[in-house]
Amino acid sequence: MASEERTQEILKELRDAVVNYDEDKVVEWSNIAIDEGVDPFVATIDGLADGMIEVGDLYNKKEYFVPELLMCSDALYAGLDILKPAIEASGRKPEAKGSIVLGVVEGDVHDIGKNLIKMMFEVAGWTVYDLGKDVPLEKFLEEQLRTDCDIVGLSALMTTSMVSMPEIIKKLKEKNPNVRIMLGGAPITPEVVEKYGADGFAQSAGTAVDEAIRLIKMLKEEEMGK
Amino acid sequence: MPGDENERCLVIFQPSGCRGYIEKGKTLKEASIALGVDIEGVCGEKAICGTCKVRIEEGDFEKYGIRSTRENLSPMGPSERKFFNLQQEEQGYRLACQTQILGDVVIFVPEESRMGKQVVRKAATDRPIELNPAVKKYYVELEKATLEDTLGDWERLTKELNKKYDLSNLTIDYQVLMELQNAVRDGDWKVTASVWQGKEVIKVEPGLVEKAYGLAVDVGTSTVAGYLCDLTDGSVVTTGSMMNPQVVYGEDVMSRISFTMTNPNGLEILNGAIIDGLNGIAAEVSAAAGIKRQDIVDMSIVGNTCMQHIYLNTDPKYIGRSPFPPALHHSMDLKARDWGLKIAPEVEISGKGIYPPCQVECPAGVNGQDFLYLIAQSKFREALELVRMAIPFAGVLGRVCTHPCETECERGNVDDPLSLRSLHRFIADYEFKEGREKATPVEKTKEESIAIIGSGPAGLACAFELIKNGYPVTVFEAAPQCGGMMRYGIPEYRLPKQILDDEIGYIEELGVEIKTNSPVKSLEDLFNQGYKAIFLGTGAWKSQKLNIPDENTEGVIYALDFLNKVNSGEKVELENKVAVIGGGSVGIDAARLSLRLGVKEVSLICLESTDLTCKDRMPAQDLEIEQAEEEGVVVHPSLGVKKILTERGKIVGLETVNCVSVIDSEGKFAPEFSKGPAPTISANTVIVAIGQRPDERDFDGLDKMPTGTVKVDETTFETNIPGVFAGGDVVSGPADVISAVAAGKEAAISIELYLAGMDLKESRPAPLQRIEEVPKEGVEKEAREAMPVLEPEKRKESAEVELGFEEQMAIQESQRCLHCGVYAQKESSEIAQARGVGIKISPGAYVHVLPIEAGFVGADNVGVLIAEEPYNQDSIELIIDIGTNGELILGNRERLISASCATGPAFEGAELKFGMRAAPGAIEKIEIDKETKEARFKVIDEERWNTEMGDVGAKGICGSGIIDAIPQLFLAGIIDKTGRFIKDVSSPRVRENDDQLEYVIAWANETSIGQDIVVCQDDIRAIQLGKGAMYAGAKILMNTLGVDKLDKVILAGAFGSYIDKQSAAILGMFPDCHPEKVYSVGNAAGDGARMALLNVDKRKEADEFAREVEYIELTVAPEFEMTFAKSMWIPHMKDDFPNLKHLLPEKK
Repeated sequence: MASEERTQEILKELRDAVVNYDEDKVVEWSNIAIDEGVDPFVATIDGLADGMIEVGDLYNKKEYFVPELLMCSDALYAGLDILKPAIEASGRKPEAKGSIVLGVVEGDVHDIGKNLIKMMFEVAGWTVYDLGKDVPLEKFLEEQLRTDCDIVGLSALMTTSMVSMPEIIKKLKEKNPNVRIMLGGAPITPEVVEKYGADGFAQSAGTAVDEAIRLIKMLKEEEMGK
Repeated sequence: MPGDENERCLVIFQPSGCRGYIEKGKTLKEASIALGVDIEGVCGEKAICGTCKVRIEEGDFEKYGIRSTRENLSPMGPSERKFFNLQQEEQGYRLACQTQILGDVVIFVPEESRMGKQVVRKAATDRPIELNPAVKKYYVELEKATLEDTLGDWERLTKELNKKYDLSNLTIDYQVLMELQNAVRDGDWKVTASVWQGKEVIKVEPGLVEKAYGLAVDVGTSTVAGYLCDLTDGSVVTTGSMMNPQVVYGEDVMSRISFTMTNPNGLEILNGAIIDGLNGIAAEVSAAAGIKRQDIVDMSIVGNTCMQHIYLNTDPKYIGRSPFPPALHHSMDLKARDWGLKIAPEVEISGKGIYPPCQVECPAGVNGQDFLYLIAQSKFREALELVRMAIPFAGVLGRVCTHPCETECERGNVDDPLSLRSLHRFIADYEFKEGREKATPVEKTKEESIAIIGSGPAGLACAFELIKNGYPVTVFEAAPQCGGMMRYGIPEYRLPKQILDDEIGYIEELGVEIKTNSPVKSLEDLFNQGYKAIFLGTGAWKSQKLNIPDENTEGVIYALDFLNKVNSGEKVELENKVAVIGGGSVGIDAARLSLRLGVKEVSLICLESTDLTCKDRMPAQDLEIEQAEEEGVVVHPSLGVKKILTERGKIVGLETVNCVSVIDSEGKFAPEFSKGPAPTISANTVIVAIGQRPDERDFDGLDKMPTGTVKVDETTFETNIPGVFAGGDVVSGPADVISAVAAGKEAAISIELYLAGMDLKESRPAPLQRIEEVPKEGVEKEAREAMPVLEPEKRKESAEVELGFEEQMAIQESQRCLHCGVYAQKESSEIAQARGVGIKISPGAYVHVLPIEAGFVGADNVGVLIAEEPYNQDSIELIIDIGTNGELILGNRERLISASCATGPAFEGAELKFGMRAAPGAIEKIEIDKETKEARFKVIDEERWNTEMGDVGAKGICGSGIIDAIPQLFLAGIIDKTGRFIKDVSSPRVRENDDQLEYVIAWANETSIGQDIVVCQDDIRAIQLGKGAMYAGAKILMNTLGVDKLDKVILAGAFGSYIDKQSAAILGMFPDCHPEKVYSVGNAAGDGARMALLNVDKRKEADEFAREVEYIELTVAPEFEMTFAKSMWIPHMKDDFPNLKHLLPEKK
């Protein structure tokens, strides 16, 4: 069992490795965490996920851009690959913070933004149902009904595919007025979100991260409040 | 800035693309200054010079998330109006200095109002082109025709062409044929024939004409370039170029496609814009060369896939969505004059007629075209609301109307008229089925209450009109239930009572009071009760008698009494054989109803003919006759009844007489009979249905006609008693529901005028004028939707025979509408333009449209392909066509692969903080000193650096400028290889603004916009995305082809020749390559178009290789994401650049 001081050091190394998109370091320190008996759940949340929150801040400050985000994400996943089995082995079931159905709408195959959102939600401990790209409208509806998720995230990079969003939003709201719908993608603006009757806005990868981080923070605060 | 929308409006100027938020209430001129758009103006914004004309572009612009409408501008005042004619006003022209901004708008600045002209950089490059044009000219001298030799002109010409040039099997363009005789004689039998592809004569000119001209056009997303070529020597005679006029509707291809998806007629508008543009180019290059447009005998065109779809007027929707299939891959040849022609040629609007025939012909003025338009968009409730503006009885009339609208529908001249009646029914049934919200009572704003006598269609329509206008209305009905003839005269199987009840319910909900069982004794009583006006709509309920022997025998009944009883639920006894006399709707109803009551044998005898096309046709409607016969009614036409035959007081049959004519030459009812033998019809019950009259009952002092109908003024429906109006059957005698409704509406207008003390005739609204000419050329035949009906054997009792349209049928049917009225209404000018004015070059000329490779790799890339011929090379070449959309080709003679990448408009200067297109004042070259971090720059059209000039007047940065700026910032250590500004750089030019770092290129005093021109962090990110996409595309192609180095990089695209090759390499727009092996080839797409124009072999080559190039969809490649990410760094995250080693900083 690592000392409190050592644990803090390991967590810091994990955070920094994610922020510096240093995949090797992330792997190294994830293994150290396990070897030295750091709770893999703590290592994930206070190490890797915290690092990703900082990455999001750097993005918002325009210091990081899409390539850095993607590499941080790769580093993060490398760590998760090690820590996740350990969490499962410990028998500790992380509480699901919420659930989201994600997908790129029909006619559109650009999914980088969606993948980044997906990662942020996963990091935050959400259950993510990823429908992938070029997703037919009915599929969103089916999946929402099947999973009873809290949020549906629709993504589109092209104006031409964006225009099919209102129909699915209408149908989703008809079936389940409580579902929250978040839109993301280059052509989306707050005006579009309002016009289409959606709830949340995450323009491009950046604001998507921002939105996801806001959610994580809110969840963390709630947890602390308990 | 969504939070500020109350005070600030988004204003976008096109074609410059400058945009920004402007305080509400500012003028467009003020906005243009703030946003750096130069609009002419010499009078100091006093509306005197009129040089600052601009035009508002209306529509939904999804890309900006705004709706631009003229309501978002202040209304036009008189001082402004004098500068415009009506047409311009309608098109949305305004004076920028006078127009205030009230909301978000897109504003187009026409060429003549722009101060600095756009620099379109699409000069033709000098390439050797082998000459073998599609059109060649042949001079021939013909033998004059003589009495001995009367060979036709055309045959004479072909004979000579064959003899002299060995041309055979020639055909001639029809337009050319029409001018042939003149040309031959004008040239004194000496002519020059232009022959296309050795097959078709497309022009015949008098005398010897040596020169032949062709036009090659490259339609880019942003710019259009045209090259007028001499087909006899291959030279470029003149070059013309312009901004693509579609720019106002969206800057990139995706926003254009979405414009066509979200705006009705969007495609027509864009197509019309580019056709206008092409005609403009043709005019410009011809004028510059001193020739006529008609001297251009051939044309070739390239464009990207989206442009190609739009200029061919094919829907680009499907190429905007995965999997992006085009309408057509192949090349095609089409007549220039047919270009874009989809429906019809341009319409001249003549006279005042602007209304569609369906609306003009409907007695009640229902606007069929508009409600059909709504149905086509699945807006069924809105469609019903629209119909309710004219009539309250969509459900009733949707079943029983005689539909004069359909008779006159222009579509009927193509195939079948629209099923307007059934569509009325559909929207009414839709609401009935889905449920209707109770109507909101109309607030009674008027004091004068009005009495209506009779609750039939005339009375209720009158009540409906008056209640809508706020009058208190009371309807007095003598019968126990309201509806008049609609309830008591029409059987349930044709009009279910629940439909009628619902529609009357709607009228009552609006606030009309209906008193049933309330016969009115005297008009005076009503006036005494305080009613200020009366409408009399009591109908015609008394059946006409035959006036023949034995008419009083038991078993002779009258159709209306019969229908009335059945509709009231009374039992009626009929014998086993029924003969109905009368060929109108009432007769048919009586016959069909008899069958439903169980009678086995029903005959119908009428004077009229069953030939429904002759003047003596049966007055019943076609469909009801057909349905009656299906059900078993036996019709005996052209017979009069002479006598009722009886035996022992019981009817046994009818003695008839042949009727030879019903309507006389003056159109009057005047039957003539012949003497010959006529059949005897066997029957036990006779139902007489030969018409009705109003009751004889007199209202005090009301003048009547000899036939018993009430006498009224034809226009106003006013009776001889002031304040008393009458309409419907009581005036006209038995007629149809729609006529009664129309009469009720007209009377309502009269009542209002009467109460207001105005002249009933002078003050009436003018009748609608029908549009005179509706073009129908090119309309594909498509039969009308057939009404589904109950099978005859299932038609029992009250079951409704016609079943009504399903949703999809209704939508389908509505889409057949020709929108006759549109031509004359608001959008007319634009639509008329879009419809097939064609390209105005030589009338017989063809346009050769080059083929498409795949998805977004379009004909423009094929142009590059045939210009560069990588299929004839051994070295591995990467060809990059840089534009708003980037296209890549990689390979050599072994194998060629291609891809397209969305580079975005940033490379062309758009969407950057101080970005602009290439125009005077744009910074196009930048150098930054590594030590001092100071910058110097050059602006377009200026040889000197800014440091060597007094008045610099920079306005922004164009594409080549930004491609210089970023590598310079990188090499000077101001940004790092990830593209991020390095924090501790100490230079007054590096500063923080708007939460991000930026670098000042030009200080405010070096600009004409009064502020520093900077490159900010977001600008760098936008460029990184674009260049990353391009680099990643190249990498994935290299991986696919299995090569790790490039022998040659070719930068195509007009823009490609203006960027600094070394800057592009350091920025990392493409993988490493020796600097001497990087070539700029200018507008290769345009060169390809020119080659195809001048050499038919090149056309074949294009067809062949366009299909051979393999297309790779980048975004589905699994490695795309990381490849793209790594490619965004400067020049790249991992790759080595041996050829740039001496320039790049040491790798850490």
